[in-house]
Amino acid sequence: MPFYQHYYTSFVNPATREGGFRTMAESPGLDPAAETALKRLVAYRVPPSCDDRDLQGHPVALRYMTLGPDARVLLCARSSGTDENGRPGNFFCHSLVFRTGDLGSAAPVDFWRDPLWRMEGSPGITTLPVFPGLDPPGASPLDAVWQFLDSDPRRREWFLHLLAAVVESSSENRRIVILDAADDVACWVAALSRALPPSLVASLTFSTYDYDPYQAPYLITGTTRDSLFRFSPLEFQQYFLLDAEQGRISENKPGPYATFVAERFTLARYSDELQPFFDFCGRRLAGDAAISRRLDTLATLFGVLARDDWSIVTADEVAALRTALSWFEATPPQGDDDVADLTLVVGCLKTALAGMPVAAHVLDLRRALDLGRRYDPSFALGLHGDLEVVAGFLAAAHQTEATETLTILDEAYGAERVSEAMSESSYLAELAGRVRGDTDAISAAWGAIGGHLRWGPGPNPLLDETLSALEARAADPSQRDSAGRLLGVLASLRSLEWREGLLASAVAARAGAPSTQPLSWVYYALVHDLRPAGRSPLRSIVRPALPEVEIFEMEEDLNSADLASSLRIIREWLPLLHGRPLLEIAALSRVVRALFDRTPQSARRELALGVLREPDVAMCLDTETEAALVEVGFSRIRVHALTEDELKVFTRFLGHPSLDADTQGRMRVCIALAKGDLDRSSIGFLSRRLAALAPEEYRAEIDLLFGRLLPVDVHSNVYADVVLATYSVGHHAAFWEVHWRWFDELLGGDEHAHQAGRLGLGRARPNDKRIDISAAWLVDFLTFWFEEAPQRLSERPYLIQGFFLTLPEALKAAGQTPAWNDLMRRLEQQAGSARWYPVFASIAPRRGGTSRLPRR
Amino acid sequence: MKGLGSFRNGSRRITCPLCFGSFAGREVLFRCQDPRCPQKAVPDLVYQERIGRTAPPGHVFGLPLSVKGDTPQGAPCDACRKETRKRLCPLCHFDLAHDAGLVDDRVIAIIGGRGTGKSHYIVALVNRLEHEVGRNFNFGIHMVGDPTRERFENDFRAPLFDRRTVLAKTQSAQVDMKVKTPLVFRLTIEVGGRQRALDLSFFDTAGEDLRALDIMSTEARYITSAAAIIFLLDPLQMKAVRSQLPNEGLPMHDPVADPTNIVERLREFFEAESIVSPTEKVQVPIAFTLAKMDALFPIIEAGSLLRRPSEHFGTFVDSESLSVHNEIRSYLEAWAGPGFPGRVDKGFARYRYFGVSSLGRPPSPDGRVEAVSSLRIEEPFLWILHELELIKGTR
Repeated sequence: MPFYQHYYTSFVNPATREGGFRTMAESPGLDPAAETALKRLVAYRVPPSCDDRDLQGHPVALRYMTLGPDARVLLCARSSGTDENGRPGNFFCHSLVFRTGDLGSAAPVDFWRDPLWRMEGSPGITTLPVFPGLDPPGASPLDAVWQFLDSDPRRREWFLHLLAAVVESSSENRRIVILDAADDVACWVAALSRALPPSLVASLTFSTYDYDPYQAPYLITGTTRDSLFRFSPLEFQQYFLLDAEQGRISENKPGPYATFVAERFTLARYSDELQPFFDFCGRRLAGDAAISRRLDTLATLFGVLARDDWSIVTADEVAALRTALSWFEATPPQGDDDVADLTLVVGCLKTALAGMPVAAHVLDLRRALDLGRRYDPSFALGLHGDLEVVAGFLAAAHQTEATETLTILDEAYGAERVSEAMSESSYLAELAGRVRGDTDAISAAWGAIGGHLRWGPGPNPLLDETLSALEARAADPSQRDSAGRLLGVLASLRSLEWREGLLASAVAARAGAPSTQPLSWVYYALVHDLRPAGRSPLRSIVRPALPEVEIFEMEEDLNSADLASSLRIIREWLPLLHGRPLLEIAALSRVVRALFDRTPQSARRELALGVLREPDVAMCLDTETEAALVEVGFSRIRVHALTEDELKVFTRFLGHPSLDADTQGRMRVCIALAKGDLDRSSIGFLSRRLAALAPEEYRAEIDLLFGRLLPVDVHSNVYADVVLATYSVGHHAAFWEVHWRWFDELLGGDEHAHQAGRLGLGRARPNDKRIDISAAWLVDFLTFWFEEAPQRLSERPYLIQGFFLTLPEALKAAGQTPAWNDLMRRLEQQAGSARWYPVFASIAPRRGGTSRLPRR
Repeated sequence: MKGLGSFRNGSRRITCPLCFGSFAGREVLFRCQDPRCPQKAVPDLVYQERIGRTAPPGHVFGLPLSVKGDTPQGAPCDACRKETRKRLCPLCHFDLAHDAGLVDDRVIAIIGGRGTGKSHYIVALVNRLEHEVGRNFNFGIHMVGDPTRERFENDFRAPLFDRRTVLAKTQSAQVDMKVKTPLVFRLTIEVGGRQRALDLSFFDTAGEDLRALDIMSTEARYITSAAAIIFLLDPLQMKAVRSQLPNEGLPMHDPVADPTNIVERLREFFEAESIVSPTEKVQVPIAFTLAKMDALFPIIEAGSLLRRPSEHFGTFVDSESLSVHNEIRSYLEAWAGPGFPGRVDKGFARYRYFGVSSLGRPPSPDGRVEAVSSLRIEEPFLWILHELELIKGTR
């Protein structure tokens, strides 16, 4: 531990006769770079207001500074009067250059006014010995410190702020200047040195006196009123200033370190309270010799670790704990004390997290567990405590964080152990207690830990709490959503075995309970995603408690189903109900009615017909339900051509007692349209009905009937039925307009017309075959009217008359057909011998020639 | 007249009084002084590295390119937006005077061997300029900036005039950075009915810093930037003089302070700094000034001009100055050896000899100065002003 000496002063070199300020002597081996650097620290100016000759009254400058990463200088500069020419301003500076740490436990300021400092050198001696070490300073520096601080009531308060300024100096870039007597400055430095962990004292650079604090590089610089420093208001902010003479001090806000230390900085408390704290700091600083706000973190950390109750910690304390984790991550604990610190940090953090669950802390837990697992021999005992963190998150309904925490615990302790510990009744009871009455928290609990739980014969307090909560929510409509969410969480838990376990526990838990509803809900939540048949194993577990569980299930299934899938669901349920007729009818009718009730009005007819179309379903409905469906299904039915399915259901329910006559009539017409013919009762109904329609409705409806019922190859009987059913004297003109349009369209069309139900005479040059067919059809048509109509259509007054009155005009229009003349010739060939032919020929027009057919 | 017509010109280049780097007005940097500035903790590494001392607190920033115009007087901090007027040299971050770049300036170096009385000369000169010479020449002189005012008051004026003691030794710039900074005085002269201003930067040099070329080059570089030099010579370090005077009261002989040596070192310094080649003469006006003339009264002629105050009343009387020059020259031939004036003549193009007494009488053995009665102290300075074409002269 070499201490290199250096003297600097103004003197006359006896060898060269050269005078002036320069190095007078130095130890061999002193690093030139260190010498250059120390020369910047030696300057000494007598305060201007001092008497030059009163050397004893001149302040002594003890200065301590770093010269590089590993070199330190401690120097003592003091006024030495005049130079060889009698000029004042000479000074003598004795410096010691040494390595960091060579002072041992002594603080640099302990060498204040130490007898080792030389006040003069011998001009002829240029080489100084290297000290192997320094004698320890004499009196206990602390005794002087207590006396100093207690001798002025303001000093304790100033000390607090000075210590805070030291701690924040690096982050604030705020140097400290003290205007006080040099001896008092030394006392301030001594007090501050003893208020720091010993490993940091080496970083507390200072000068007890400097004439120009602006240029002084020290953290703490003492000065005098008449120095260059101005102590302006701005400088009270830029620097941390203590003007002890005038009792002024800069403002700052003491942080945790300064507050903690200053409060305990007394003779009585120093050894017992501060020494352990400094030891703790020493362990945690581990080589970091910088004075920084890290000390605040350490004070906060020490404070919280020393506290008995860790359940509530401040954000700053959590931050300090987190920082401590970083330290341990960077530097593994060394020795038992370090491990003890780590155990405290990890334990405190976990307890704090349990009491203050915050998402950002999950990562902290992972880090804490990781460190604990690596270094804490008692780590394995911490699982139950760690599950408190999970409970803490769940109590606040923070499922994601709880899940993440569980993942971390799985990694740390193994998933098996975690599941086992979580499934213990004691933990579940505590968890139930923390989530009690809060459906969201219960949901979070199931979401996070449900899948981990193991089912045994014992009670599951969380399940009990869940069922109770569901029951309570069911009574309050405003809470049903949250209950739904809870059931949704349960529904998301997949394993069949797990579900069986849960249901068995739930059945056991609800035995003797007045309401089975919660059990039903839980059951359904667990089975809803299974097909009805696949639920049997689970259903059998709850059936003792829920005898009619199928009805509930079916209702619930249908509740969430749309119209199309409702019928499928009902079909799926039917086989499960067979063999239990009473249940079958009751169940089906109930669910169909419920389904019907919640179906919008506009869709009910479709639903009713849909149900009625299912014969298996329909036959299991009670009378009341069936009647309601029939009534709605066929009400205000339009006359239209039925599909095959419709035809079946129309045919089946035609004549149902809940249908009125009008509806039944419509059904008949529809059936007739579907079958292609009209029965007698239908003709009468249709005739009456059409006669009562408004003209436009009448025209539209018979247009439909002609189109649907009268194809080109229609039998004359059907033609007669349709005419009978549709003709109405009141709608005479409209009837014949529609009739003859049908006639025209039938004759017209091209070569494909036949497939479209027409004869195909519309094209310019139809072939002979088509003309022959058309002529044959026309012969049949005319034969019907001339020969059969009087018998078949007599019940409709003026019908036949109407035909013949309108026939000439219709023929005239048809006569425009290009092949009309050819048609007429064929007609003459085929029917020239018929009795009615002459009558017809007399009115039939000829295209491009006479208006009459040749009489035969 | 050079230097008196172009001030208040923002586009002029500024010379840093510390590092003597030259830069455009727009290039100045600023130091934010707001204690709440979020960047206040960022250390000024440039200052620490270039000046080798602890930087003043405050965030250093430059002007954004978007700011147009000439030398700005202030700027909003780029971190906290607080306006600051603390301007810095962009090269070394030394504080610039508030009007740097706005007023023409000249560096006047006061150099000389250790114990020659440089500090005493400065304080006596300023005192004389303030109280008499200024009135005669119709110019005003006042200190510029708090650092100059405080330093002049604490280090120069108060000790000498209030406490009546000799001034403390000037410390080497190696240990006291303050020595490297100039004392700035503003000379205001009425020319043609208009006020003109000129800043004069006096550098007081520790004699120690002139004892070797390498020290000069690091601690006294301003010499090469000086517009003029007042070179004080201590006659009491000349053997011929010491032998004619009683030993009592003589300073110790310091071979380094011997005028011959120092003059040669100065000449070498100009060469070493490549200001002149070995065959060229130094062009900077240099007033070679014998100090402590009062101590020489026993050995100089009874009717010598050097015993009388100078008579430059409102104009520099060149003939009187030349008479002094010639007289000193002949004394130097006798005291410093016949080679000394010759060496000066070979090395320097614009020089003149002067003789002055800063205090008028030696201080008492205990360093007391009963009264300050300077003699001819302004003459070298007036000659320099005349050489710089700042004042009129008559033959």
